Amino acid sequence: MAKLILSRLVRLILTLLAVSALTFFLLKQLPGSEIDALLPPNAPRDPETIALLEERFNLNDPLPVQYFKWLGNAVQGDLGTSAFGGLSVSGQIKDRLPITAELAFVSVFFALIIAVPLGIIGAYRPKSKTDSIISGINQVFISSPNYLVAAVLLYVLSVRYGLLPTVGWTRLGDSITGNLKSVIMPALSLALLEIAIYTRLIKTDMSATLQEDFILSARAKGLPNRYVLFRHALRPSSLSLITVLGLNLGALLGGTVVIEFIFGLPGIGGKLLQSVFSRDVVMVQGLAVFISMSYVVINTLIDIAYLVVDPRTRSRGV
Amino acid sequence: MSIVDINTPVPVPEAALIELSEDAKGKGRVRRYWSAMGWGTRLAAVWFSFIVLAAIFTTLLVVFGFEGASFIGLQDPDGLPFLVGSDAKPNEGPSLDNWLGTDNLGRDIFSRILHGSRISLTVSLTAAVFGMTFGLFLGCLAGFKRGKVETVIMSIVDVILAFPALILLLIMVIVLGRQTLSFISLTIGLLAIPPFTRVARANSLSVSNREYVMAARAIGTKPTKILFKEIIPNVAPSVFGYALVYAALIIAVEGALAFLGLSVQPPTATWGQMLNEARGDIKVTVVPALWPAGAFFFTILSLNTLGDFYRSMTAFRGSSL
Repeated sequence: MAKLILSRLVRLILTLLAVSALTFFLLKQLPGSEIDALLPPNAPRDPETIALLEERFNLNDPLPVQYFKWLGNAVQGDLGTSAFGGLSVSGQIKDRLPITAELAFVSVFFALIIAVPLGIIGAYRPKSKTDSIISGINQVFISSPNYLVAAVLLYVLSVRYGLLPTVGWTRLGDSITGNLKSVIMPALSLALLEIAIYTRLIKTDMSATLQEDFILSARAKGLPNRYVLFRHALRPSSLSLITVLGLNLGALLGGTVVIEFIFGLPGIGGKLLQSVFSRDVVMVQGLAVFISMSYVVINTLIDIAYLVVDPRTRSRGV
Repeated sequence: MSIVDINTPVPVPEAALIELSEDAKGKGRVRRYWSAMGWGTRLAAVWFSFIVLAAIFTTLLVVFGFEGASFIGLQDPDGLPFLVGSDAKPNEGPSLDNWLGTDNLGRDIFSRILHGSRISLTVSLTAAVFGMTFGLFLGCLAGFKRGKVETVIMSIVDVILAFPALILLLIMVIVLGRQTLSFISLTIGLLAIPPFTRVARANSLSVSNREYVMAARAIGTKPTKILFKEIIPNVAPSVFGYALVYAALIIAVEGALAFLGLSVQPPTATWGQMLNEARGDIKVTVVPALWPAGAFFFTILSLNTLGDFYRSMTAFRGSSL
């Protein structure tokens, strides 16, 4: 097993290298001169500044050398400093990650508390009226892009009934209720699609589990249905759910771009978008690499966790 | 895009096998499919045909000019009436002149919705066709040849899929820097190839072990011929089913880009941009936001429904073998 884990780690490192190289070389293809890409449009362009930039970003080196120098710094936690206001990329990540992470976790939490019961009902009474209603709702959820959901929630909860603030973020440290109020709508907008995905997953896996002999014997012992479903059937049915959950968490860390934009949240996605708008190459590069990195790392961790938890996966090969 | 990520696997329930009724057999494919459809699926088919017709019609209008289209209530979608006369009517409700009302600049929403369908459909169909063509070929090649070919193709695919899709899309959009319809379609089309390759490869792995492929090998058929005559045709149906659902996803993704102002640039009408503009006025009136939202929702829903239907129609191919 150690060998398997090792091969996963090697593959992880190779993927990380490829991802960062791809981002680096793609952004080098930006139209216009490199100095223009590094400086804000209104900044002065005197020879000293340009020389300084060339020095700082090793612009006179060949591309591969530039990449490895950048990589060397990145490995030590220095993802560069943007010429737009002199913000360091790592500092921005440190400031903004808690917000994006909170958003991601709360949305997954919302999705789970709704999806688990729905999936169980669907598996317990397949083809019933309740089941077909749940499938119908799922189809609606899957067909609603999150910005659509956000617009509806904004209208109903903020504009119509004034229950929640439309934009902005209250930090957890400042006010707990304020923080809750600012996270509810963005998290719900993200959660609907997850609800649909998780419900389908749990339903499929649970239907399979309910055919197993140990469920029959639990029923035969006269255990109440609720006990059988939650205590006996849920755990073995949640393996693929955990995989997808991890995948989604990884995707969510970088993928809340649109939602952070709509609700004006100071998270990583919002900053990435802002940097895309202002063509702040250093920031875009650092954030994109960080986001893809967390995505890949989380995936690998799940893979490894599987190897540890479920012995059957060890023999299946990589 | 965010959690609606191109890479996020959306599990589908086991496709229910649809039995064809006796009188449906022996008819043409369209009529057979139509009689196998439930009412919901039929509505989806009708709505999607309507959107396709709207897209074709407005494309013709853009190519040949707007004269003569006013008889069905169509107006120049980008025209700004208040620049011409003083009869600007921003955020009006539906009327005989403006069937669905006007937006915040007084433009006719009905025309803009129809014209928006052109953008959404072009982008999503280009992506689906691109992904299907190249992904099907590359995936089958990888699954059939195995060995080094597979390693090379799948490593590239894995690296591209390691990016959350919207992030890579954002980078591509600013690097290419030209937000025209053809550029956006091609960019998204390129990004569509890896997920299709993965799906096609997974399917071709099982097809490659089927009896008929073994038989073809045994009688000495050339590998290239096996690939094109046996593998690809048998992987194609499931990839096509995926393409329908993928097209729905791309409509949402293009919508997100447009919503952020990074898709085809104004004044060209796109649903995402209409939704974003209407969102700005949501405290005044909600009506202009309803139409693009509905257009998104029903088009995506209809494609998903058609995709599920197609899968349930083709499912028995696999299980009966």
